[in-house]
Amino acid sequence: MSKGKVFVVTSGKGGVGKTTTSASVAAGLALAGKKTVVIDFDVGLRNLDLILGCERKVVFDFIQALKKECKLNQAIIHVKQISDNLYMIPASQTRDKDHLTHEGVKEIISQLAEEFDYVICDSPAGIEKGAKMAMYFADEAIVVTNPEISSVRDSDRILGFLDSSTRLAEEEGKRIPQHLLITRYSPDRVESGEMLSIQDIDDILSIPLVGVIPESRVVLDSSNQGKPVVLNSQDPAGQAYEDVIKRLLGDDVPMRFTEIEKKSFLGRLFGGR
Amino acid sequence: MDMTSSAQASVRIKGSMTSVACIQLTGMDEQQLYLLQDKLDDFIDNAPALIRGMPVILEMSNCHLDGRVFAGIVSLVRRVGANPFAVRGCPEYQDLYEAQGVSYLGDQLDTQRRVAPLKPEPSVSQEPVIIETQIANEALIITTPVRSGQQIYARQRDLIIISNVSNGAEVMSDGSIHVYGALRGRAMAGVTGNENARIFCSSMDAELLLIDGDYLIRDSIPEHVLHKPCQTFKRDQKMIIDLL
Ligand SMILES: Nc1ncnc2c1ncn2[C@@H]1O[C@H](COP(=O)(O)OP(=O)(O)O)[C@@H](O)[C@H]1O
Ligand SMILES: [Mg+2]
Repeated sequence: MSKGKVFVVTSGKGGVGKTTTSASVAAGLALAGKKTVVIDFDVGLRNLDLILGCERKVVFDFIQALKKECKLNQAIIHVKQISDNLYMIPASQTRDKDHLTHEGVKEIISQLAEEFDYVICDSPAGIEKGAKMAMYFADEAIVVTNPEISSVRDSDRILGFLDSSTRLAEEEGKRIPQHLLITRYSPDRVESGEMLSIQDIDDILSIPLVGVIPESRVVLDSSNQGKPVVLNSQDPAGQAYEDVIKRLLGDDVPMRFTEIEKKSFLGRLFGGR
Repeated sequence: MDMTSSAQASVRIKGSMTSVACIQLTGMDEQQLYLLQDKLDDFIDNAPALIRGMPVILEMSNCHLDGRVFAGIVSLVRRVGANPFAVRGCPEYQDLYEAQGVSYLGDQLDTQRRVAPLKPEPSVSQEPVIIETQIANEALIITTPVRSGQQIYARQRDLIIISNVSNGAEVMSDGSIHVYGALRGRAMAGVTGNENARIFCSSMDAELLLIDGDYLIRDSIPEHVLHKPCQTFKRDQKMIIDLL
């Protein structure tokens, strides 16, 4: 019997790109033929449904499914316009996090893992209940970090919790595989010393790197249009997320967008990108 | 005022995570209360986890107390979140102690003797805490990074870490601490009273180095040892860092 893989996308700090990453990773896996569901754990700050362009289809939410006020299937939205393989469960905007219980979350995640190849949990910021619940049942973690010291320190802290506070750690004494994803990377600003380099971040966190997503204005536009940036294969951020999907699926592809790009003659002439 | 008594006054705080902390008050009188206050303020700035919620024994010698002064001592210690529950030494003030609800344990001062834990495990933080008790006197070996918010305590043995210790992490040992990686967090060796404990690391970047009650904060670590392999030890109650 095949059991799906549960990923948590987490960071400690808010606003670093967890939801952007969850949406793009889920969409990318679905487009690669994997049946995927992504859960928004950010109770009170719903926005994954916006990025996936399905905010108008929200009827029931994660907490309602948890409290059995609806069937699990009723809370799952089919995100057909992106891929036949993509599904999501929205967060509740109103109900408070006290309804997140271990038993409830466990039941839902294990049901989903039966039915889907991948279950992606988009963690809220912080190290409180919501974040802990999102990581508890994970088989693997994607730790999202921006190249700045406060974000890296928060990730370090989250890695400490990932070592000790997951089901696999508590019950089997195992640490789940941890993947580092650096987002909003800008080689120019690293060169000028405004941002930490990949090497600096690795010195502190020392976990395997699954990708480096460059800073790109297209990310915000894509989110606003309800199309995760991974769908945009022209944009470097979209391409970098495509590479991440390949690596998660076991392909060894080289890192891109980590060096300063030499502008073409015309690019320099017209100052464009 | 008697100048010699003020020159001899001293305050030493000896903390430990799992047993009780000891505050040694020598030559304490009304004029010297500020010394205690300074020391406590310093301590709480640099090693808050070590004293917060801790049961504390006050060890008195050559003190000149009255009811107000002793009440002052107790309230200064309580103010930093510790719990002064008992006194040793200066038997002549036994009545004052009892008036403050603090037990008197006799006048035998023995700083080397270990004090039995009063409660099994005071929970000083909700962070993941790894506490290892002794099996043999073998060192506790940790092979993974010690992350911000994590604490590791090797009870009655050395602690060996074959990885980095992050900013915001705390590693503690009753013996010595060896870090084969970068030490960026707090390291506390000899915490239950072993002044011969040492702290070794492959790259010095510590937030705090503490050996048996004496400590150096980041700003007092000399520039030339930063990011270098070195050892920290105590000689004549002074903290010394040598390059390896
Ligand atoms: N690679 C990127 N380049 C530019 N902006 C980005 C990038 N990744 C995320 N952002 C922006 O950062 C903000 C926070 O992202 P979000 O995914 O909501 O973070 P989180 O879920 O961690 O709070 C959003 O406005 C998003 O558009
Ligand atoms: Mg988010």
